[in-house]
Amino acid sequence: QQTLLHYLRSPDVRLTGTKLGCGEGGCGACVVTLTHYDPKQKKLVHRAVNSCLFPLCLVDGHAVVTIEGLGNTKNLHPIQKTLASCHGSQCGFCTPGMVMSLYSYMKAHPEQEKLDLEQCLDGNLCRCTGYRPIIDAARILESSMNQS
Amino acid sequence: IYGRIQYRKNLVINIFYKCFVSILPSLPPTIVSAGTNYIRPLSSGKEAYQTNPGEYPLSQYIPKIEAKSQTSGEAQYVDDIPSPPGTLYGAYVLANIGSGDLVSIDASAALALPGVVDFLSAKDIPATNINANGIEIFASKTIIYNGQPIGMVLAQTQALANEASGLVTAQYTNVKPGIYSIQDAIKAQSFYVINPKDINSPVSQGSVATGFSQSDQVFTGSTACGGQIHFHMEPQVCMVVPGENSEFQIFSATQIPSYMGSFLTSATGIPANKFTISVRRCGGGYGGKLTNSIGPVQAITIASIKHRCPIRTVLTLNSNLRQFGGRHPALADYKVGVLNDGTIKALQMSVYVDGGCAIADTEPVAQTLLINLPNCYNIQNYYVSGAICKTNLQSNTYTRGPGWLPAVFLTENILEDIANRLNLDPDVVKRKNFYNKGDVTPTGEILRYWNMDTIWDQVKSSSDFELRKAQVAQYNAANKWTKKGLALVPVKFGVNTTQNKHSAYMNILNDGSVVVTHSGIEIGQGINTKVAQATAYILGIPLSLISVAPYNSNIVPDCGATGGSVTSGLCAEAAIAAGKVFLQKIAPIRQQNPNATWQQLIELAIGNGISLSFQATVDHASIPYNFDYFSYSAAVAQVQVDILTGTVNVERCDILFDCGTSMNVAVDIGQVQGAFMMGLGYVLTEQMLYDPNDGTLISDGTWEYKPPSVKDIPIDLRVALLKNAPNPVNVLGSKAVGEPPLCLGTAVFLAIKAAIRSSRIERGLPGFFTFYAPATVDNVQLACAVDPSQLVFS
Repeated sequence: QQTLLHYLRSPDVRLTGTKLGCGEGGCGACVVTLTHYDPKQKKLVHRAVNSCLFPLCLVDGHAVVTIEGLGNTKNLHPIQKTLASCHGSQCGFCTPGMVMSLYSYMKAHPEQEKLDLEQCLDGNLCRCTGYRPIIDAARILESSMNQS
Repeated sequence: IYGRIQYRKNLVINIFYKCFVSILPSLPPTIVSAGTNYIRPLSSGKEAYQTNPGEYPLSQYIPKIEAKSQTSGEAQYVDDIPSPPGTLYGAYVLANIGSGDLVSIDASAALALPGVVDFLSAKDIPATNINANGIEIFASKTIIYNGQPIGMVLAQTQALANEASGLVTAQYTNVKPGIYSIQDAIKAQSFYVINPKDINSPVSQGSVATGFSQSDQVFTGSTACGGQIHFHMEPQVCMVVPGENSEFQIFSATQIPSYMGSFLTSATGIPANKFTISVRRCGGGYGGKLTNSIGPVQAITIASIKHRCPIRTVLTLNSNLRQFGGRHPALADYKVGVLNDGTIKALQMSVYVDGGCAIADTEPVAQTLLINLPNCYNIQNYYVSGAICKTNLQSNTYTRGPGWLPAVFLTENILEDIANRLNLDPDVVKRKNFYNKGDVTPTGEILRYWNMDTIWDQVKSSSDFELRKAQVAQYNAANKWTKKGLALVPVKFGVNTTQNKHSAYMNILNDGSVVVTHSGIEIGQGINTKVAQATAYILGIPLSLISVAPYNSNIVPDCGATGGSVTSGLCAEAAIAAGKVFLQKIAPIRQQNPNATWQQLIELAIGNGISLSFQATVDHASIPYNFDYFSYSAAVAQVQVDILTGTVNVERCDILFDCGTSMNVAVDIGQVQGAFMMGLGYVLTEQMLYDPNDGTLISDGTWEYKPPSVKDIPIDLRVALLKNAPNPVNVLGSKAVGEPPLCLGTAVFLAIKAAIRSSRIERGLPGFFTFYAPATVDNVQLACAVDPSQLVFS
């Protein structure tokens, strides 16, 4: 019955970067990246999941990446750095979910010519920013990915 | 999921029609758009602002000092603080009747679960059983709303406590039908008995009778806007850790720590100096963590006293929404007299505000509403009275822009109604009735500083308003089943900086680094950043030397709440005043050592016995008016409405906001965008839904309650801060920014109304119609009043 979110935030694991918002899959504050190997496609499959709903037992055979796995204040991941400099985080509670939704989408679509990162944020609510600076950060990330 | 039966019936027919339209060849061109879905392009935005390099770091574009902590996931919120060993977790049990008496509670099924430790109720409260909303912490007998707390389960984990709370049952008697809407309250004449003067009622000027007699047309109408949930992303959360000798450490996501102490004392009998309240940040507040935050802290402290261990609670979204109120719904019946050229000769209004089951903070909100009417318009013959409805719903509380937002909304709807009646353009009617500089409002505010004319003209020009007015008309002539609408809304928002006092305490450490503790709470509005900037500015040192500490009640206990859009300004002002205290003390040393670095200065100061701790409190003297200045802004909104389904696409919004001289343009643009979006959600997708039989909250989570998502925002959002407009009466020339932009969301509602009106007139229906917010898909479609006989193919 234990959810992935509950496990991540438990005293043994202490990865509290992933947040409990609505607890019912509607706000996206709990998003993490789940990766597994698909033997049919013969490749790794990355997806964003709502960890507040995802049963821990179903994570068997997966790798989980949380926000702490991307970077820290001494060494930020480009997504984290860009979101910060675009002022895309006010109260900050939606921010880990936003970062992980962007990360999951970028991992899942590495070869796509024009990413639509706006698309992948549909399940992440933000009450503070009005989304504009988050989308602006996504555009910058899009163009830097297209360049590289 | 529930109800909306007529809408669903209409939708079935309409979607069949749309399907046929999409298939059939050679249709009249005006019908074709019914058969296509709106394709939402990638969104875009523009920002325009002005910085002053001479004042850096003030006025600069600086992301929050916590930005990196937040994007890395390191930022710590209350629920991220590790629980000490032995912590128990609390979960509320709430009443599920709207009105009646509690007879008994049976917690045996809950207590039978392994790991469930206790069930607390009214009898466990050591002293006074009352929370900051005037409602019992746990109900002792009388139930006044559906969702009222009757007790709290304590268990070894939060999940277990949540589960167990669902197993507690209660017996009630005298269950009566309750009142569950503002309209029902008016019908039943269910009002709070108050002294009308306390809410500035009535507001009277000139003679409405004379004004009506001088009018070309006199007509009546009604306008209303509903409730709104704060929807802070971080839930209500708090933890209490007991220490020795009845001491307690409280960690709470609260905007009002200064009230917390006295309410803890009243509930427990323990003196205030035993409670240390510490607040690092809130994951959003918007007023939802003011008085609402106090009840849970009282409850867990009572639990901690009884069980002598740390207690913690994180409320589920469902528990939060069922238990706590939000924005006060408002309704106005009006009678207005106008000349044919649009001049308003007289306006008479009865305004109602829903206070919910307990009046709590409603009087100040109703008062704010009454004194901010009638927005930007000079109406010489004027009579407005207000009343506060009593219902069996959650007690409503301050919600970002309380009173101000309905004041703008109600007024702007009346102005648009007037324009519709007279067949004039709304922007012409509005401009015609503007105040002039120096005019006096009906409640005696002198508009010494009025720049609405400038803002109005500027935003019309920069938004290509006249051109787009013509384009919208063209589109509407060419499309029968999709319509566009355009609206322009001015906002005059009165600000009172005298209502709260705030302080800043500074300590310079031996290495020259500085720690500032101030009395405001970081709720996302960037207050810590502005205080750090102000400190850096006044001391003349780099921003990197400054650290802002969490709020601590032992350091700054006596202060106002964080609210009213004034806290960042006041705390920055306090930081500057405190810095000046220090500069004065070290002035002689500075003079003697003109080339000393900051670190050297500090060493000299230590050597000279000068204290490196200093503070200042800012408490603006009270004024004989309600406001010491006004914030002005305007917005143009353009929408596209699908007449058959009621779906709305917000195509473009242009906002011009007078922020004075912004302290931090990144933060302030962010506030304008965010507040506007909260206002957009208020008029578009956010709706409070209750079961009319027993007041059960149906919109009790994300499945039914819809704050805007990334796809709901304007496709094109342009925000500009007015240039060269320093505020002569506020700290560093700045102006309030947290709340005023919400009122601009009204433009989106009126654009939708205009689109609906265009379709109604085209199909021979009256262009004047009553249309209450929110403009949800069902409300929009029903207002379009499409008759199936009109669904033709030729």
